[in-house]
Amino acid sequence: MKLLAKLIIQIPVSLLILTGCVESIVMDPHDEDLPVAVCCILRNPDPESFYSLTQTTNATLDIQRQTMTLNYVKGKSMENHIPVEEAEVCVRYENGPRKDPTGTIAFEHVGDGVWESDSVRIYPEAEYYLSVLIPGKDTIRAETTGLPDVQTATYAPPEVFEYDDKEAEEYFLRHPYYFHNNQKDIDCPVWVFAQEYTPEGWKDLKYLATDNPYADDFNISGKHLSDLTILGTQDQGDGTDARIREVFEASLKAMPNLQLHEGYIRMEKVDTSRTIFVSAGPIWYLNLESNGYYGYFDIQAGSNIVYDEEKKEYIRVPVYKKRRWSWNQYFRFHFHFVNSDLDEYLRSIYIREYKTDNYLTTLYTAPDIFSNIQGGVGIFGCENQLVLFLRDPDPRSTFGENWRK
Amino acid sequence: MNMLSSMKIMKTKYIIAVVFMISSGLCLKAQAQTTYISEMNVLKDRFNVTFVYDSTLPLNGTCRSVRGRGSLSRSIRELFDGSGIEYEIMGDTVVLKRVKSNVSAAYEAPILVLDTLRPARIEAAMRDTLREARIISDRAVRRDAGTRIVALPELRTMVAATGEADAIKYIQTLPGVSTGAEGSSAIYVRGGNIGSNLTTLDGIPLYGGSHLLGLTSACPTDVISSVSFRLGGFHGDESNITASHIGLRTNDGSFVKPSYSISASTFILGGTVSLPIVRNKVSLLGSVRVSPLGPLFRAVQAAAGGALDSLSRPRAAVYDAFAKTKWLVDDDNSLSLSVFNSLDAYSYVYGGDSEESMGWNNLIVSVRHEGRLNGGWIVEDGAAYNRFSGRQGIIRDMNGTVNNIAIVSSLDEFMADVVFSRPLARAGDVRLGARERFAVFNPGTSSTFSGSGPLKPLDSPRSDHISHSSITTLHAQWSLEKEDSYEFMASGRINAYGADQTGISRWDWLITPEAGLLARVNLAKWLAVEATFDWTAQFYHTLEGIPLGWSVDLLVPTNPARPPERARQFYAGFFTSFGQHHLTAGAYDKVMSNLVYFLDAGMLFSPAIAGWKNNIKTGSGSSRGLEFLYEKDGEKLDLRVAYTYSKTDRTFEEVNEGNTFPAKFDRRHILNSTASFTIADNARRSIVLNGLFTYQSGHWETVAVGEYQAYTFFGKDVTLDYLTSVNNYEMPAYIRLDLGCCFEFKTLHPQELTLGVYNVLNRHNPFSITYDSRSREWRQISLIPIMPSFNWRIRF
Repeated sequence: MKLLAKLIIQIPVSLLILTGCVESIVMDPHDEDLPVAVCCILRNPDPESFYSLTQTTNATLDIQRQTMTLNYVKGKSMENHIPVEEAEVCVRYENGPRKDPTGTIAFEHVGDGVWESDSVRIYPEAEYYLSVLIPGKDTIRAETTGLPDVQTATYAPPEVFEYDDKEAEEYFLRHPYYFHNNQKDIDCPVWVFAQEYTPEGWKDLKYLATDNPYADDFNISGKHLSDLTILGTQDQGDGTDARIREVFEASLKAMPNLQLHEGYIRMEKVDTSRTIFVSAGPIWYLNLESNGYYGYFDIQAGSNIVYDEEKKEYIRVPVYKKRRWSWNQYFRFHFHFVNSDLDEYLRSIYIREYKTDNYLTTLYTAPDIFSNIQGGVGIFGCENQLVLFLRDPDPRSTFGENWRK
Repeated sequence: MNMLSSMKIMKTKYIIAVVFMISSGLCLKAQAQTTYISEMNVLKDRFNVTFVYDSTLPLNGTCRSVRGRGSLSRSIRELFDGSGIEYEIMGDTVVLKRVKSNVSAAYEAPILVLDTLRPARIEAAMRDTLREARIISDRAVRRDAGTRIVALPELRTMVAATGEADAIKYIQTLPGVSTGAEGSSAIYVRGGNIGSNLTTLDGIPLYGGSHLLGLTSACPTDVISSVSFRLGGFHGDESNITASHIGLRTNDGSFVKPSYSISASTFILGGTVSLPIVRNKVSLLGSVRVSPLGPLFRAVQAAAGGALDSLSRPRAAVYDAFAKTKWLVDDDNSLSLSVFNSLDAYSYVYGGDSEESMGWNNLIVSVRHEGRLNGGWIVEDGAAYNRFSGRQGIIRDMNGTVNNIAIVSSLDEFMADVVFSRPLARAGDVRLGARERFAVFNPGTSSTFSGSGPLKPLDSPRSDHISHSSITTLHAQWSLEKEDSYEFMASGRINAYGADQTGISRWDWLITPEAGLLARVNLAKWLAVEATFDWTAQFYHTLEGIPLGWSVDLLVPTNPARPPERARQFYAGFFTSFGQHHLTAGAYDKVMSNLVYFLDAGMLFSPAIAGWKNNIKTGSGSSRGLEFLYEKDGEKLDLRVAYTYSKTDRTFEEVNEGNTFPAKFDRRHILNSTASFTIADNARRSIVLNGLFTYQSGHWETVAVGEYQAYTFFGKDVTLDYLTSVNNYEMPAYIRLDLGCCFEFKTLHPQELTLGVYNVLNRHNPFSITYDSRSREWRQISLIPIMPSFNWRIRF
């Protein structure tokens, strides 16, 4: 009887909840003549920036090998990818520097669909043309543009300023943390991650926030600064935990509606607007704000927001007044500067991968993935990474040789 | 222009509209005639009304002339008082019946609805509602090129999956219309999008027009007096649309005696009341419908003893309510106040850890005035407030944190309009008007958040995406018609559109013209040719998600980054009639620009939907096709066969590498055949069999034929689908047969019972396909198997 009741009612219920019927169908697998998936990201070595060093992307004297993967798209009915084993692969560039305006980067097959070049420099804003000729097929082509220079100049207060507020403040005005380009803005997209060092290694912070007008809210979490709470830190008897909580609560009152981004923040470009990052991770947060250096994008670490009883408003207090308390933990930013091709590709992947499926939207067609490969799929782009440490000028002394992992 | 000044302009326009509302006067003259029929024809032309009557009534008898009388009610009263004929004025319809006749109580609402803006064409509506109908004029050669007829009695007897047939279901069987997902109310008219259509309730937009996830209409059929469906030859006062206009007109309550009805269908229970508050002066019409879905869900859950298809704890709350009171102020003026409210709310737990919910609701408050001014002008004016909101929510444990995400969209619209019309001496009719719409959009806002760990178990304030828009429209229309010879209509609109953007107080303004033309020439009594041209604009976009035609799609305003949608459409064809047989055929060509493509439709339930503005692409579309409609009106057998051959595509620079691709519901062949056969029709009962057969080419899906690895720095491997192109796979054809039987018992309390079987063939029609990576096979998803339904109604 129970089974009968279930059968009787399941039909209308199936209608109402849109379950309907699901049945297997046979489709033409279209396995023949599948295209080649290309992945070629041109990059220069990553400079590591510390609070007492100045670095510029593209400017390092180191050069590195460029790598490319070439695999045939795997048909739905196939077990594994089929690598491209035979092809003529090269990248030609134009509008390079005066001493080397044009040239060609040859790639050699090193096995399993991987192709490598000799160590070369990728020139800023040069135009790169990819050509892959597989016997019996049309030539696969793509083009992309080298990234502009991004210079970092980071400084930290010397120990002597620990108790001298005036001197320290003057120093900070002269030497803030900042990125700058020769132009007003850094005119390329940047994806910013924040990481903290844990006993398990470097770990991405879960939430970041910004008021940068160029920030893309495509990965906002639906949460706000006011949704965060603080776990605190192990109080070592120096009042650190209490100060962290004080600053945290003040920040919540000052900016409760700032939206939290999930995992990272993508910015269309970087300008001089006040920018604030907040981590939801146990205790870390950083404020990126303008220091008055017009024309530069600034990062100033660890300024506090406290309530000024006299002014009856929230004010910012530089952390150096707090005698290095904010340096008790290890923290770093990971910047991925990408050109527009790679940016659009990554963005479309995020949208596809990180959508919140539910019962109904699982039925909906997956969004299209950007590709700039003519005659194939995949991506030909440029990326420069930059790591900004906010702890130690020599991380090897703290983390050993595996400090970057 | 800042917000404050815009509000002032809006206020001024509103005051002007209200002034028009109370500035009515009387000045109509008439001439004498001698028979009821001839006098009725005069009244039809003068007041734009439709007569519905029993053909056995002695309407050819002589009578007094009412041409010099003032109002409709006064003219009708003087015409029929003492004649043995009882009358009732129901909006644009005048129902005639014998006094104390048992049959009369079983009258239907008008079987035909024509364009009441064109008095001469009302002739075609002269048809009684009983089976021994006679048609005074040859309606085939009078058919409006742009307007489709929606027959309410046919509509009511249609078989629907929910048992609750509605106008949209009927419209889906007409030529030029492609349907969305099975059983839903999604329509794609001549290549347009769902959002390119506009449904209005007494002239007020009804944005959330569906119940039960789009399976039926939010507006009860019982309160509807007429439905017009116009897909070309748009009138001057039809604006902010680029595909079609579904105009729902509501009845007035009875001014004479109270009546009540109760109805029940598979998923909806309802009741209506129609009564005079002050006899012959003030009436009230009320309707309430509720769905027993919630209790049914719980009963199902209890009986099944567990989750069905991974769904558990289903909940539902569905209702709609309508009330309208009309006051016949004097012989020349009437005022009406109506309120419509509907709600859909659903929730369920999917997969044990994902609690999902959705819902939408409408609220419309409208005040209308109708009257006559000196010089023969008729004035229609009013003001309305319209609110529509939709919500999707999901609560899911993600990485140890409970996410409670809600995406809310709302639209608040304030409207005021006025229309003046009058016949010109030997120069046709003219209509002039103005409309102001001020709207506040707040799409894709979020959210709430709670949980453990670093998250506080508190709700957080929503982040808003508020923007404002104003549309000021001036419109004019001129029409000229010579009986059985020709008809011309020209209309034009000029829109001043202004909008700000979220966080930007500066308003951008745009002047947008629109135009419409219609021509018909009768080459012979049995043959006429016709043509229409439309150049239209729409000032909001609909970001469409799942193609159900339901109401959680996002409505977003146009702005410089998303300019108004434009459409240019030509139609030419002919219609002919031989006795009971009528044939219409024509071809159309349509070009659309500034269409939107919502890249992230699959993210409708994601918090990232709050970033919708980053994911809209604009492009163009085209559609051309052939439309055929054959109808037979017999004594016992009625037939209608509609066939459409069309091709519709889309082109977006940033989608599909800029290559043109077929629209998702570009169904090349669409055949709909309906038939009804009267088994019995006498003083005691009638029994009518009806059926619908539909064949439609399959819609298009984007199918991945392969996959490859992606490069990311997101921290995990990602496999991407290889899609050859957008909408690259044509699904199998959609075939469905519905059968039903409608019983009408003409007792003291008339009853109607419609029993039906939806999808008699139990064909698993395709809705979508997915790829199961575990079993490595494709799976087709179908929605509705064979489905019995019923609908019962009793009147008191």
